[in-house]
Amino acid sequence: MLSPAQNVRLRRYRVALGLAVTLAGFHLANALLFEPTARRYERAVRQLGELGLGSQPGGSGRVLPPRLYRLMAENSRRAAEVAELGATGGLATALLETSTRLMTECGVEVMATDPGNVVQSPRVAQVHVELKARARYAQLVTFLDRLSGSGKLIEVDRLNLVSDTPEQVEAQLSLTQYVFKTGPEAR
Amino acid sequence: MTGPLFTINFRRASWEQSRAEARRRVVRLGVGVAYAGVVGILLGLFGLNCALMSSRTTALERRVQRLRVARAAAPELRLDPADVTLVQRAAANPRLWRDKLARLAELLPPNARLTSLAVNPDRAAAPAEQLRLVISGTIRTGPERDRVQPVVRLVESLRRDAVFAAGFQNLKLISSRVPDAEGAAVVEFVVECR
Repeated sequence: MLSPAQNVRLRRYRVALGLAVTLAGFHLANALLFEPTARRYERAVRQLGELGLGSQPGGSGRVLPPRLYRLMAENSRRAAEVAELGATGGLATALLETSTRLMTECGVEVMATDPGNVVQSPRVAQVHVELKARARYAQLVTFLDRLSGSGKLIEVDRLNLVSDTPEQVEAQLSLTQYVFKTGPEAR
Repeated sequence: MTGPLFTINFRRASWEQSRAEARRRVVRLGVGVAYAGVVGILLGLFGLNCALMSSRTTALERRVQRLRVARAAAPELRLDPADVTLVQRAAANPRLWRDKLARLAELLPPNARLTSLAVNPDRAAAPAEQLRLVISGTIRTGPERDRVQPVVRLVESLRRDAVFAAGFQNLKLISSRVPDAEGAAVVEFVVECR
């Protein structure tokens, strides 16, 4: 219990006491809640940079999502292997095999294939192929759907559809697959 | 008899004192309420900032963890900032055209028929120029006088569709013509999207 004199003193300084309590509470919350979180955030950003996935030049702050990194990892081979397969036509053959298999699964009739050239750069190889096929429009859409979920980095460079009959279209496709290079040779 | 000409309030001094006291109390109360309000807002903003920071940190830590796992699968893969753009573009490309072609089939009216469709007809190498689509087709028209109207409506519906029009800066009717002037029921059209 406070004595009357203490009570009077407490009442006189109640505003200053209130301010001090608010300030102390704020500091406590900052020290216990915010600062540890801020430290964790800084550590996570640093770790992201150490993984080699930091900001883009120009500070756009874009990072490669883990799903795409996994996709990139699945589409990578040792640089020497990529060079050898590119020279022997193995990369183009593999791309043709993948695309014709997907087409057949979707009911698309493959009429002609043309393994194109392989463009080698220090970090990535671009494999080009051309295909000619006949299918219903919906089957081609299904093929594109299957291609997007194939786990391969395959781009549709060019697509030309001509209505063959009311039900069928004749399609010419140019596809490009990207194969990333790993190892010390890949600069 | 007349009433009093004036009255003297002998308690005026104490009345004025009590009014001044009441005024002071109101001002004190106002200052107290304003102070509490400002402190409340500041604490609220601080709390929101803490919550946002915490959720962002958790998401970032989860991403780092997932990247570590992915990285362990291909430890020799070195990343270049240009790869981010390349991988994102290549991964999204077939899905982009699937969405556009599927949507086009839904948007075409039952009396329309595609005769040809060309993605990147100029074989452009630059990624920005590859996003070009030329659609050619026919529309069977009714007895209306303005036979181009269904084509214009089709172009408008393509332009308004969020999925189909995504990524295209310009979507326009290149040409429309009636093959036979006399009694023709078909209009040929070419639409370019880029």
